Amino acid sequence: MAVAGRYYAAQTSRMIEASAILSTAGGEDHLTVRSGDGTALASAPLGSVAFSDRIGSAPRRLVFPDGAVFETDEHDAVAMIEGDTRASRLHAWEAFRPRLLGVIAVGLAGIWVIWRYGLDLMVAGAVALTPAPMLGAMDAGTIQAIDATLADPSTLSGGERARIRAIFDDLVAALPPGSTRSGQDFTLDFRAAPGMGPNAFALPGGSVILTDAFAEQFGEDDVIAGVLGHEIGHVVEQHGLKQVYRSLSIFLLVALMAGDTGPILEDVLLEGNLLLSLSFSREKEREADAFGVALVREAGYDPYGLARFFLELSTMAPDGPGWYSTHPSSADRAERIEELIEAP
Amino acid sequence: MYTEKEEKTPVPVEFHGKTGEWFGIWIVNLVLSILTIGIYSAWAKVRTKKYFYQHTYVGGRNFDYHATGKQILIGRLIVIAGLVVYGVLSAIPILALIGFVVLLFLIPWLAVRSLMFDARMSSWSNVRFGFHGTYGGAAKALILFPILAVLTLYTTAPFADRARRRFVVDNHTLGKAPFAFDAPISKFYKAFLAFLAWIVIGAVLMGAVLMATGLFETLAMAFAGTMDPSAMDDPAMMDPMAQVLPILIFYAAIIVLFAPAGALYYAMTRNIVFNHSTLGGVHAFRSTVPPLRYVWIVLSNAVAIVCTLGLALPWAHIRKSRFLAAHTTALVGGSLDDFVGDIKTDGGAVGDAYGDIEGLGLDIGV
Repeated sequence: MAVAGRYYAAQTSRMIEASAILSTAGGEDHLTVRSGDGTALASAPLGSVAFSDRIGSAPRRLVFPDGAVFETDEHDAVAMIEGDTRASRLHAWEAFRPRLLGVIAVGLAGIWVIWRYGLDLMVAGAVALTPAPMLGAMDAGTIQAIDATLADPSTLSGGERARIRAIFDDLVAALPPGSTRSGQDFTLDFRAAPGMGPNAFALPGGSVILTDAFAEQFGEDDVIAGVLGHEIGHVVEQHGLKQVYRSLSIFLLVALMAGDTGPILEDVLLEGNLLLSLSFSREKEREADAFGVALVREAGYDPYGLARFFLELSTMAPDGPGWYSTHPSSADRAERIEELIEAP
Repeated sequence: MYTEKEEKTPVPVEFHGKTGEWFGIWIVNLVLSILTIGIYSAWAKVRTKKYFYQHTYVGGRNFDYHATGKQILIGRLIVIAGLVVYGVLSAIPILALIGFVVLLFLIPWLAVRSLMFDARMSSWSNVRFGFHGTYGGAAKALILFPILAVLTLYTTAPFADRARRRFVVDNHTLGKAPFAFDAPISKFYKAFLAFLAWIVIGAVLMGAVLMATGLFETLAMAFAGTMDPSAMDDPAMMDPMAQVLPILIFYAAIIVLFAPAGALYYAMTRNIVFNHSTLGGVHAFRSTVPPLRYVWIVLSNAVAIVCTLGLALPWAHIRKSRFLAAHTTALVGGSLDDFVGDIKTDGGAVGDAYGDIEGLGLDIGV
């Protein structure tokens, strides 16, 4: 049997039209490459010739022990010489035919499993490996960005700030031992940010920021303690960090498994997900509420403070329809907090 | 640009990949990667590279990729181990600082190893590519020039980009034949200005649309909301539009401004690099990618991928490769039979895996 193709001596780009002939001599299969005029260019026992894997419709390469290469597009002939191998079975599975639908179904199911369970595992591993100094650096960067775009220095009086800071310190001191990572600092900052209204938020490294409007509108110690406790809850439960890692993991998984998604989707996956990750889910808000209530009680403040805050909020503006909101509505939250407090 | 152009024979670059064929390989890669919790992705990477290399032809001879999945896997494991060690050690502040400095000095070395590995594992017409960049050259092109660009508020960014391209191209060989690249800086500035112009004009247009539709106020009010985990504590955030709008605007900015500007710049600089590179002093190249059409390809690919939940990815890959190949020509100044391989040595896969993660890719051989 002769197979038409092209021959390259080792280490050269010189392409020679040639054919490969399979012969049997002394019970052993032999592969010989001959040029058009019959000159033998290469010859070796079939077993010592390496066959390249079949990939799509690309030519097959048969590499001789001395590095010479015979290349051919006659796929059927090569498949016959080569016989059934793992690589040839892989190629058969890749064929574009109905069976591929089954492969697609398994793929979609696999993606669902990763989405549901795999991501959480990756995130937990990454969180465990993140050193506290890195978190501090992340916080500093975020605060810089906020200062540049949204916030001005606080105009609260020194006494007012000291009063709120004392509440914050009480809460941090009441944190159960072992609930924070070593080297983690909790800090409270004040900012005047008219665009944010009465608000407080927490960054993954332990920086909590309170807006001036909040201190002015909700001056009561217990309310401030409730809201700060809630924010500390976000930090201790690592909600922010987990969200950041979740989006990074998605980016990494897509890059590793699906391959190049093109410049646009790459940006959307990386930056867009980070942005989305800054808003928390309903479940995470409830976790932070529960943590905050327990912490506030431990520190000796009235745990109803947070509930009063949400009730007051709900009288200020009607809650929107629940389906679009990723946060529990204010009235609903107040009710749940009361349940939490009354539970033993 | 090469002078004796008339003596050269234009030989088109052809891409023979087919969507159906590649889809099958891609989905099997994906499934095996998932079933092996990611381990197979190293082999999948090899199969992917082989598919695109082997289906790309110049003058009837195709490219090939020779790394094995095992090499890629080992490289990735070493990188992961390094990251874990770095993460653990940097829990101690002083070690974190030392680690950062060490990493900075390691980057040029990793880049050279990465390019070397990729080059040696690639071949065309049975002859392997090579890479001969030095640590110093990499430090200059990849660290020093970018730092200078930042210090000059990016006004010298085109110099940095040219230095990087020159470092990559000049140090590559096909067998014993060296590649060479030089282009006037004005061409890089032109591409850079096109990039900036797209962003500025796009931002102005986007702003105008927002103003006209009255969305700007909602946006200003809501911007704080997305920055803030507990934004729902603020009654102003109850408006559903106020919640969703900043995210929409952010995506729009990426899709309309930054990504297309990047694609525009990529197409323009690809043309510059190909049109000013030579091989072995006798062969030259032509790239005539129309920048706006390239932006269109990239944009429409992204839309198709999103609308099909990713299933159109293989189609998008093939479409882009076919488009780029169709606008690339080799200007052959001698015989294609005369390339001779260099001594064969294998670079480690460490740098390669780093290249994977950092997205350091070489842009040669389509």
